[in-house]
Amino acid sequence: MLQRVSSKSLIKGKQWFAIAGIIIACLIPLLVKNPYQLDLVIWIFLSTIFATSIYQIATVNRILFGVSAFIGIGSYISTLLVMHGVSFWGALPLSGLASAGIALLIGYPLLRISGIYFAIVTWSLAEVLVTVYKNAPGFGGIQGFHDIPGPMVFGQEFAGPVPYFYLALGLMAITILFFYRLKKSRFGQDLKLIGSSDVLASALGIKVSRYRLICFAMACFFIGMGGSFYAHYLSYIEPTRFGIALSSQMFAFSVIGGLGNLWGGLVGSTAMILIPEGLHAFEYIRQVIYGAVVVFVMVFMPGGIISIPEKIRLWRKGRAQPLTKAT
Amino acid sequence: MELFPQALVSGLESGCLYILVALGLTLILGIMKTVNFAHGEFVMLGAYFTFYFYSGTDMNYPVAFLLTLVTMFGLGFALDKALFRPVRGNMLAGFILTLGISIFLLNLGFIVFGTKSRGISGVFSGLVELGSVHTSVERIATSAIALSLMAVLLLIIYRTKLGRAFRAVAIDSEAAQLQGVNTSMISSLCLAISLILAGAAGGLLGVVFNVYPTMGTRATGLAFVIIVTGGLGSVPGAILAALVIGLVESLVSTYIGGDISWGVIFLVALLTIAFKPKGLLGRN
Repeated sequence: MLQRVSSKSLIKGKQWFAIAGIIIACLIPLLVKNPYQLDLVIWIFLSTIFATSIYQIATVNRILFGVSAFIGIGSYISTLLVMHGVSFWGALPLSGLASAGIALLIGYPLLRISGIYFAIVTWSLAEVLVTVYKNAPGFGGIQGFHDIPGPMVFGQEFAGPVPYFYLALGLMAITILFFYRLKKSRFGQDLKLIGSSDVLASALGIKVSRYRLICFAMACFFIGMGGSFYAHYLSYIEPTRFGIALSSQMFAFSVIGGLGNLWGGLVGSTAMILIPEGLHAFEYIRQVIYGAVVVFVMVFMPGGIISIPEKIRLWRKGRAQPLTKAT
Repeated sequence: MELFPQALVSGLESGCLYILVALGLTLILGIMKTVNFAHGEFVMLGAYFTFYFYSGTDMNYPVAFLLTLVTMFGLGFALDKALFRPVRGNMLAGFILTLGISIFLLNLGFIVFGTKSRGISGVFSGLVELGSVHTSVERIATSAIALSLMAVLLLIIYRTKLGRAFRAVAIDSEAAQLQGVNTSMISSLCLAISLILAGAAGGLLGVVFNVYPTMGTRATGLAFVIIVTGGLGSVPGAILAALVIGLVESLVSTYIGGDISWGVIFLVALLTIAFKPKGLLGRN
């Protein structure tokens, strides 16, 4: 009883880790002065937002393979809003909301579809949107948009990678914290139940399709905000950026980290951005290595990188057992 | 209205080649329950093998084409033993594994083959005029080869003992194993045949269009659109859908614009899944 009270009032061990992690992350720009390396870390944070959102949708048994559809929606809406005089700080949440709104609209008919069909449906959506951006009037055509202004603070535009670094870190922290709190909530437990069995969940009175739709829209909200950041950080967007390549990259990050774990997205993004980087190879060779790592992980650890400690624990336990039996 | 018969014919000609692209994918999905995202990259490999056998040596086209098929068969057999085995039956793991293979092969293609676009030229020559419709010997010949390969595959699947084993494993792998079917051999053969089809598609596409490393990305997209429209794992569905998609692509290119057709065929896939999830020939 005492323990329960204290664990509620105090910060628990795991949360200390998270806070320590954020503090260390905040110090990175002081240690890393090289803008190129800082840029890599910003991409890790941004990819984590997308990969973690893919994880969140996977908890209700849906594979968002075409994540670039929603990244694109966020990017384009944010760019269009800023071009029409809205401040970045207004456009950021609005593009998240727009992405969530579109997710609600199309999720209603499409979330009924499961398994590989849903993966392909979201991929199709991304390809259709790319064609829309290229051809529909008002989306900048095949060239897209250039010179997208950065966020303004006190009348000053973001200069250099450091402010973007903190913005990306903040967005990533909010995303992970939100999904962490969600996981611990009653709603999150219901979602987990839906993930294990639709039939069981609905037998227990959970409104399966509604809950799944809300979960999908929540994840798409964060993806849309990430998309907004993406546009303003790059300062240009073009339709072909939101095709299959971006989707499959983000999807691979989340699976390689571990699709069954909230931290999988962070682990996967970090590993898959830093490993090819550390090898100092040319672009194509780097991509070849990247592909090989994906294959390796899938063949030898289907649970992703994050499953390694668990595997080691099981392996040691498995070795220990015969010994205890013998004695 | 004059454009219509022309669009129809060239759509059907493309459709015949798309049949080959899609059949390999639907086969491996239907029988081994593996989603092969690298299928298009195997099409690309097939195209390059044919190109190098044909242009690099003094082989004639049929020999180069057959040699490609044999190479693809060996590659498929080896790949199944080495990589596909651990993820068999697990669609998600298979999807990621093949995603990795696709990234690997695509970029290896850039390194080994270069980014230059090539063509397998001078195989067939001559133009054909049928009333108001213009076409070439090349397109008619490749369509005929594609259709005959398709016929061979259908004969194997529906008229041989091996085909019966394939169908049995597709329905229930464990039950088939209990009846004495060597499922691991079937799975290797299945990937090998799937790769033969991909290689053949590549060898023929290379004659009609160009050979370049990213052609596989396009082929993967096409193959997935087709098998989704036809119903996942369905062979007759894939054949019908390949022709439909070929026609849709050709008609949209003729009447609206070539750059829209790619989006439109994905829209077809999207709407098919939304309204008829089991595809054109699937039972709902």
